[in-house]
Amino acid sequence: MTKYFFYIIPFIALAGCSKQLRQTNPNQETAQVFWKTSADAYNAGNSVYGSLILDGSYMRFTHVILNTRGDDATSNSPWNEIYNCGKFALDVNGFAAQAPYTAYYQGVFRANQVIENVPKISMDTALRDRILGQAYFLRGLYFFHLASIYRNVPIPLTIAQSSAGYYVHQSPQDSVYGQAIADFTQAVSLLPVSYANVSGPDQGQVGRATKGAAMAFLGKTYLFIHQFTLAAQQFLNVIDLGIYSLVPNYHDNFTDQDENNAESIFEVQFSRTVGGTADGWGPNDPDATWGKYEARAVTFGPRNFAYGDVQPTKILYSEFLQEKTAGGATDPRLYATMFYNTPTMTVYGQSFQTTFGKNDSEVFCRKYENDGFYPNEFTPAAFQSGINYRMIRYADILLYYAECLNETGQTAQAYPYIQQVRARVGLPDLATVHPNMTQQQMRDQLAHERFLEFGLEGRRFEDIVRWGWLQDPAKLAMLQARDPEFNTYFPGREYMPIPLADIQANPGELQNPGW
Amino acid sequence: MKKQLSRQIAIAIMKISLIPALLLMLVFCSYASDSRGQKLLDKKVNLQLVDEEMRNVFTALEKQIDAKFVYSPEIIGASRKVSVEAKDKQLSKVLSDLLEALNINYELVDNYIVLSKKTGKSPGYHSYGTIPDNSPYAYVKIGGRVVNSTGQPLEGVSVVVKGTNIGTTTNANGEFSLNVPDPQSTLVVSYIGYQGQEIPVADKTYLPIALTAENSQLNDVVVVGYGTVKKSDLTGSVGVVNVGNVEKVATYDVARSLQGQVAGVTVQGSGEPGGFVNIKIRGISSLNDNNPLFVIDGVPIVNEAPYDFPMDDIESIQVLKDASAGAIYGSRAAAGVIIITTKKGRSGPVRVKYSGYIGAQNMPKTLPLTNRQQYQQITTQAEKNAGLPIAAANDPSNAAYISNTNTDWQKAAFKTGVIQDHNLNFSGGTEATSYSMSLNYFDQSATIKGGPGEPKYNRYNANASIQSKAGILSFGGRFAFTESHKQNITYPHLHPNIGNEIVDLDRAIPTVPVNDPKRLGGFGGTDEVTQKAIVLNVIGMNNLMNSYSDRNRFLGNSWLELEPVKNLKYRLNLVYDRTETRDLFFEPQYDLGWYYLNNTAYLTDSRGAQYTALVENTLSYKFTLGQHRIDLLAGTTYEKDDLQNMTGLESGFNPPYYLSFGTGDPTTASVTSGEQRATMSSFLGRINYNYGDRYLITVNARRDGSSKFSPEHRWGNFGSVAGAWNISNEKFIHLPDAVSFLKLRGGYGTLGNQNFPSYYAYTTYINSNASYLFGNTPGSGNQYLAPGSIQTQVADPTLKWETKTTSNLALDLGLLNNTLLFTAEYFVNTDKDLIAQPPIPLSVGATNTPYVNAASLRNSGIEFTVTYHKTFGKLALNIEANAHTLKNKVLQLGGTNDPIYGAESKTEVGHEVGQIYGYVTEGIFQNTGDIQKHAIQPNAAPGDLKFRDIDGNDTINALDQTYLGSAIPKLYYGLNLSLSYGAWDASVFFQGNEGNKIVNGLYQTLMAGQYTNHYIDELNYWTPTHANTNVPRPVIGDPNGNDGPSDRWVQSGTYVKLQNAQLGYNFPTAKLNRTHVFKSIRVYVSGQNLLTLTKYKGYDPDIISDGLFSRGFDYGSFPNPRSYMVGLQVGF
Repeated sequence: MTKYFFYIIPFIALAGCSKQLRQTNPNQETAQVFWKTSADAYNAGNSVYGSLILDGSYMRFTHVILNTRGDDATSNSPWNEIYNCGKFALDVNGFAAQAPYTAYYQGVFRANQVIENVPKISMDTALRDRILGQAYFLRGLYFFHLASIYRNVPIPLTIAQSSAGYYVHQSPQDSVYGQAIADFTQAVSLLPVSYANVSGPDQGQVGRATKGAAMAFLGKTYLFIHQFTLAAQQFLNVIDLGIYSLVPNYHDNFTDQDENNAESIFEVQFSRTVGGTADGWGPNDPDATWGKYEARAVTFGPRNFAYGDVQPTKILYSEFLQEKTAGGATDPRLYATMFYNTPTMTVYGQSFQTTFGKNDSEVFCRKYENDGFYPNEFTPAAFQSGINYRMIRYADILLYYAECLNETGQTAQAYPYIQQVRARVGLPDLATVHPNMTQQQMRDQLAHERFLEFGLEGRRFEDIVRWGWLQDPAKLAMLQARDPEFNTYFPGREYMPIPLADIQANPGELQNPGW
Repeated sequence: MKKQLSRQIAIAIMKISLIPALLLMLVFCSYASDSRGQKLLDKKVNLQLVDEEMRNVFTALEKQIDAKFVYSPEIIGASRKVSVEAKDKQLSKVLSDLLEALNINYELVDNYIVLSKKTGKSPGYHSYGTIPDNSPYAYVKIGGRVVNSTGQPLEGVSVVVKGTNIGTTTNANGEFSLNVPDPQSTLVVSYIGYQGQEIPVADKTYLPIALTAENSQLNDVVVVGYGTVKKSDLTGSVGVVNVGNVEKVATYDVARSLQGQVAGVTVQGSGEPGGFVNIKIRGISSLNDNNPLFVIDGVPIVNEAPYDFPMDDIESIQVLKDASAGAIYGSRAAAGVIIITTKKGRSGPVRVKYSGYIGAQNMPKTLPLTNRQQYQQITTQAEKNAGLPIAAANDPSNAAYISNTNTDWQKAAFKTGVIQDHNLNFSGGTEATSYSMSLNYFDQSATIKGGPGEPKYNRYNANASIQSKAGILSFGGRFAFTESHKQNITYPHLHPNIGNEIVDLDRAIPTVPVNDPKRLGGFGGTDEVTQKAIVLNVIGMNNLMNSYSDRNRFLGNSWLELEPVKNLKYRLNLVYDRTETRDLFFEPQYDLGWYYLNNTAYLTDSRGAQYTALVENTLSYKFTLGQHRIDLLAGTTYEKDDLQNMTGLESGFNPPYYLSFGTGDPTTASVTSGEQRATMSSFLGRINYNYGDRYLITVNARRDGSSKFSPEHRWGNFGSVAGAWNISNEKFIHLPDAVSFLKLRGGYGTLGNQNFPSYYAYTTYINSNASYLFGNTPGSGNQYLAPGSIQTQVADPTLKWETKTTSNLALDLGLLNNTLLFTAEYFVNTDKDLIAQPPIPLSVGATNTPYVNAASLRNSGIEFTVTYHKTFGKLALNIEANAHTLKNKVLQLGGTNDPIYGAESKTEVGHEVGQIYGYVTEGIFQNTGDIQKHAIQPNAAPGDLKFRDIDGNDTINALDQTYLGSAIPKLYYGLNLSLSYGAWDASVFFQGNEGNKIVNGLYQTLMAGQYTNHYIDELNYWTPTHANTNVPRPVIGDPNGNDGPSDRWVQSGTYVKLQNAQLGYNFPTAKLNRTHVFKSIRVYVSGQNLLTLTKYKGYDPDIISDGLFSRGFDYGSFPNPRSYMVGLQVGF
């Protein structure tokens, strides 16, 4: 009777089997088995670029914070995070403060992995150098953004092995710029001038970081810390590469029709068609469905056709009218930069005056908008613009170089570089119009030239900060007159607040003064 | 034959395959028709008693057989002294020898041997009270019906005429009829476990009688996990739920029904149909999942336990609150255990029962919001204060001024919902095998409008259980299938919601019409240019969008038990719990105004399945040695959890819409999928020791392994010890007469917990979707995808088990013959190494917050339970009250002790979890002089709030926030009052909590003074000429942060609710008998959430939140509806 009771006994023992407790993730490769092949290195290298196209970076919010704070743009957005940005009244724990910070550090994390692991992989050394060079370039780029936007921030350079390694100390802004310089310097030495003739999976690709891009940003970083001689050298190196030129049609820099062109030194790649159809806003984990499009167009575009969260200032409009082309026409850059009240102006194919009235106070962003190609920015779907963002173009190099020459006492030598930029849009020779400028006059002229050439490209507020205008009462008063948003500027707030969440999670990290 | 069969069993089971085991069960069911009763009667017994009261003979026999004697002592004369001598004699023989002479019949019913007086006529077991024809008396025929305090009929109740041998017992409907010698006689009504009653006949011919359970709770058998124990023998902390009270709650969710019913249990819920609730036993014990483990008929249910389970099937509910009680469920028990036993079939002819209710539900409250004119006034002021032009729609001087639309969004959206529940049960069986089968349908529609997308929930459930016994083998199974459909509250996928259904409804501005035929889709929305407000038309959204979740769940468990040697039991329990889910989301093209414009119709369809397979083996043995009673238990369990899902996505659909892939733009289609698996293995043991019913000790030990930890941290050892001293059984202590029961209990133990949602948290992996794109030709738009793979998340490989240490001290007191029972308990629980995802620095660059052993907490509290049962003639009174306090303290947080911030809350060492946190306001700046005198508030202007400079550094910034109150109530309580009088019964249930604060996030958003709609209080805003107010100026952009986290939004969360009131009526049996169809009918009316006393300014202080770091934050929690119901319970 009791015999069959004992058949059960082995079964009891079986139930406690320890082997059954070994479970591995069936969905994804673990980090332990990665970093073995050149394909791993290549794919990892590509991923470092991914942080350029998040909501916090160039998909949307970096545009918002770089533009709204300048006197070339303003915001009447109903969303506080945009509305308050240019008014220097951000919520320290808000989205605008947090999203860019998060996006850049995600990029740093990826770059660190490549820099740490790729050298250990046995593979083609030329390809390895290119991958490492791009990782250094991008890490430098992310640190450059962190330093110029957030001031004093941590510099993590290794990968945390456990939770104990998450707490990297805050470093002063100079050290962060210093790290960017070191990274760009490495990148200059490792990157090719072009990928046209390299051998490897990256052969023929455009949009990758090149030696010229690394030089350009190395120069820009020196410029930001007022190392004009070192900066000038890098800009000259870019010019001397001889591969960059201004495109004849200024507006071609801001559409998806002439991307990665001869003027473009480094641009962020976006597409309406490549990639998934879900919004890859980040900052969460990348998904296969994520699209690769940008949301600047719908955010900045004119109301009725887009959200109209960011608009040009009236001063940007009126400053364009100060100087006519040699042929007596309006500076064509005005038309490329904004929609404004003029009888011939069309907005996405519709008459400006019919839509907005004959109203001079209405100006809207046109640069980086899909006007002329789509009926509005909601079609076929909102947030899905494919226009690459030209992060640095040859015009930058020419005007930066001119500035370095002026700052190092070579004011006269600056003229031809400035004139190249003016000549493209038909403006008369500067040497004729304003000959023999003093260094200070040249500074003001450069400010004017840059204001118009780079209106709505996020350069203006960078310039204002590095020129020290916010600390100069006369300049601040001028800015307040040009853009009333500066009325609520408060010392220290030229830098964004370090996100409160980061201060709360990282002991010893201090908020920027003024916040 | 038998031998072969046993081998089959063994082989089948060793395959650990469920299906063969189930098939085997079916084979067995047919095989088991062998009369168990005959076997019992054939059983050999040994007995030698001389001159012993007959009742003691039966007691002695009961110890040798697996059956109980049932009899009316008066009728059979149980105190007569008899002598019995039996040596290895068949039971049937012993009984007939003994009883024949005494003119007593016996009959086997189920596990009972029913004794009755012999009448000469054929003996139906409830008809032995009929009177011999040759009786000398003039008899009066009377009838009656006996029910319990909740109106349920009691079967087998003894009804005897006082001072005579004349008597009878009640039938299955509780009815009896009897010939009494004198219309002035008195009836003695008695029933095991109930208080006896003497009822004067007083010339009546029909007597409805209600019996009250007598000290029942102490004799009740309590299910404690892999076994049962008498409540008086408990050592651990176990709360016994009065199912009668719980069943009155109209809900789909058992967890919801426990609100206020048990000391130490807190429930937070919302009124969203099909929404989950938060249930916590003795406070927060985990930073992930604080829901207790539900064990249904011995089956631990891992996934969303109470959700798919009909309320009507419940027989009993017990709550295990400390480590000693819960230890046996070990690694799943850290948050407490709720043990549910379902109704089982009993032997006898098929019984059919129906119970159901139908009711109406509505929103108990609407908030006072601004109308068109008030809205325009405030928003215009906000624009003026910001120096902005007035929005055209709000400007009377503008052509676009809106004066003819004044939508009251609450009025437009709120409606009456319907709730209904129907349950049909069949049960019956033979002596060997019994079955029960029930069918359930539940349906609830929302109290908010909106076409196809309005929230609703319905559920179909079929449930069958069977148990059988054949010799040393008993076995059974329970199989339940549930299909449910939940229409979710949905938001447009491209336009992240700003609030939620309630927040968005209230923020909607009055100048938008509900319907607008000019817009695509036909619903109103705001205009970007003229109105400037981003608000969502919730009614339109509900109509246009479609999102639902279907769940099909199969829960099967089969068990078998072998008892080769008396009291040595081996039990095998196999469980398979599988849920198939489908989540569909569809968004058509529509125009709901500014921001909510969609040109691309979009469909996602997720299919998933999750299952838990569980094998449990236990071996138990119990024995008695003189005064020592010992129960031993040892076992192993093995569990596997698996989760799979696949999501398809496509967009570009055009009307007419078909919700199938391929009908949209196929180039947009994509699929993602994944699977997760976790396993767990445990060894467990328990010793229960009882010395003379006075000293009781329970010892538990277990070893648990989980695949969720790295091999170095995989195994944990846990144990507990508890003891009790039953003082009232102590001979040397003489308690006052009023004290009928007194016991002291205490326990200490540890439990492990690995119940956090990530299955592979200790490993890092590579995300291969981190792609980018490059161009292939300079100057062209040609681009292609470049694959990207990288580690995007971080993981902590040192992750290990959470440990919970509990201490419990309790006193049980019974007074006045246990009509009044009182329990007080004090507990301290310490949770160490709690696994959580505290924020990590953003500079780590990870897309996740990894699971780490992040915190240690302590919870302590006192719990009181008082019950009082008393019958006064026809009136039966039942009072149950419970209350508990809870204190929470954070002992440690992560490696750095960094605080964790939630929504207007902060969790910090030395404080409680989720304490409310923000700025302290100090009134309003009246002029620029005021501002200059105050600490620097960079963007302040007259009319803005003044914040207190907490850190005294003369600048207001994030460091000036402070604690603003506790989100944890000081006291929770529940009070059930029920009484029955004859055929009528009535009950009320009050529930409440005391002393907590709520951050009213809804009020906050309605007082923001922006473009969205306002609470009426905002009309009192500051202006230079209206300075005497506490409402700051409205200003677009809110530069001063008037709307930020501050004491402005902190409100009292104290409330008392009349949660339930019910009035029932039982139809007289005599009338029902004439129908020959109905055996019992009870009808009732009830109301739920009838009254709330509170100062809270939101809809309902009973909110659902994250229950943790932001536990006090109410951001539009869906208000609990008020319900009115009629119900029917019928026995056929």
